[in-house]
Amino acid sequence: MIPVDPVERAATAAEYVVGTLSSAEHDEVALALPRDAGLQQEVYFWQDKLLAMTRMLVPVEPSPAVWSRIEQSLKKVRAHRSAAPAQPWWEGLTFWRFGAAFASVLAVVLALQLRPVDAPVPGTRYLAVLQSPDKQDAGWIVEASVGGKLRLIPLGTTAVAPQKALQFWTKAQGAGAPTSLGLVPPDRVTEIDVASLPTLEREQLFELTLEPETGSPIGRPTGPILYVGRTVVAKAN
Amino acid sequence: MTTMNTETDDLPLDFEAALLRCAQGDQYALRAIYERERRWLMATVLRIVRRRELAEEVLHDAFLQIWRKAGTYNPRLGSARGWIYTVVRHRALNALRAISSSPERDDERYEELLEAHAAWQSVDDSAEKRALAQCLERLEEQRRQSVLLAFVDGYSHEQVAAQLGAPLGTVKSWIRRGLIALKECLS
Repeated sequence: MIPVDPVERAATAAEYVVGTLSSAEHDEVALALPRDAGLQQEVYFWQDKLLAMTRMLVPVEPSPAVWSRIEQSLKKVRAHRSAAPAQPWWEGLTFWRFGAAFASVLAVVLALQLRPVDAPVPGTRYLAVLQSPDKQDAGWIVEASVGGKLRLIPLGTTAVAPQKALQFWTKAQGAGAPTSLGLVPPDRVTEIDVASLPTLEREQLFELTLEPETGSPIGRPTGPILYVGRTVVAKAN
Repeated sequence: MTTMNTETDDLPLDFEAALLRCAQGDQYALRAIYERERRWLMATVLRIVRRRELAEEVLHDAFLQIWRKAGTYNPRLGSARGWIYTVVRHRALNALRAISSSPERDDERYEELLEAHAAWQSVDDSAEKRALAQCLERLEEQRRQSVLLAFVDGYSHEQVAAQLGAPLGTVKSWIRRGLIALKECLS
């Protein structure tokens, strides 16, 4: 049982990071973490506070073969992924971890019939659910039709610090860098002409980053990614 | 939250950005993390599992795990390096627990640890490091040694108890109360 008392909870988080919990207790914390923001905060606190202790040791050079092996294994992971049949996008989501807001959006999205399409044809609709990088919450929906408008729809209000702004970006598969779609308000729908996008296709990345008030000064994201997602093709019934 | 480390002559790396790029499938970002941190991570793992070959296997497995789990890292909660070390240390602990025989006392190794701790304390680098060193210093000796053995050597309660010649229950409490006192001091 993970203790309820805040001091004991913090101690359990600390022991989780240090590694002195029994394997059953360790697994219990690992399982609870994705759904327990408070516990996550404690774990991150400890892993940062104790980090300096890793500098007690004299560095040791691993053999060059280690990276080659990592690279080989990554290739296998990738080959396996591309050989696998296209996975319905929602199966990649651990949706029991999402809040009620996302559950209802999921229901709406699932009510649409999804099908894979190769060539974009006029009227083809694309949807993307933008999630926080930890996939803990879904903050925005992108909806766009070829030849029409793109709508960026907030599911709540994204907190933006003073002197900061939300900047909207897109990156096509294979593109070297994201393209800015401009600053967007944190609590309202934004509409953009699809014609002004570099492209609109399946698996296209959309993301919102936190940038200076006047936007990124260098034309590519400089701040943390707040929400990110890729498009799927949707066909309304 | 950008982590710049000046302890080695390598170029500084924005670990948060690199880890987020891993989550998007950028293999160069994983490589950058590896290049920048490999020697320290290797030292951490080797100290825990003791055998070089096993340490390299752990490092390999840990990097695949970093690659797969990068999407679960939350930059709003803490540093990417802290997150990476937790993944790697936990992997090393798994390997250690899998091969561990009955806990044994190893005084030579323990001496090494105490010396490493003393040397580390005298180096004046980051503010975080100073705060941690000072707070560890304030702990009762047995609590401090238990926390060091558990963190740096990856010892289980049983191994710490064997090393310090103390009852298991006492050691459990030294570590837990030690960490609670540490939190009070660090917060």
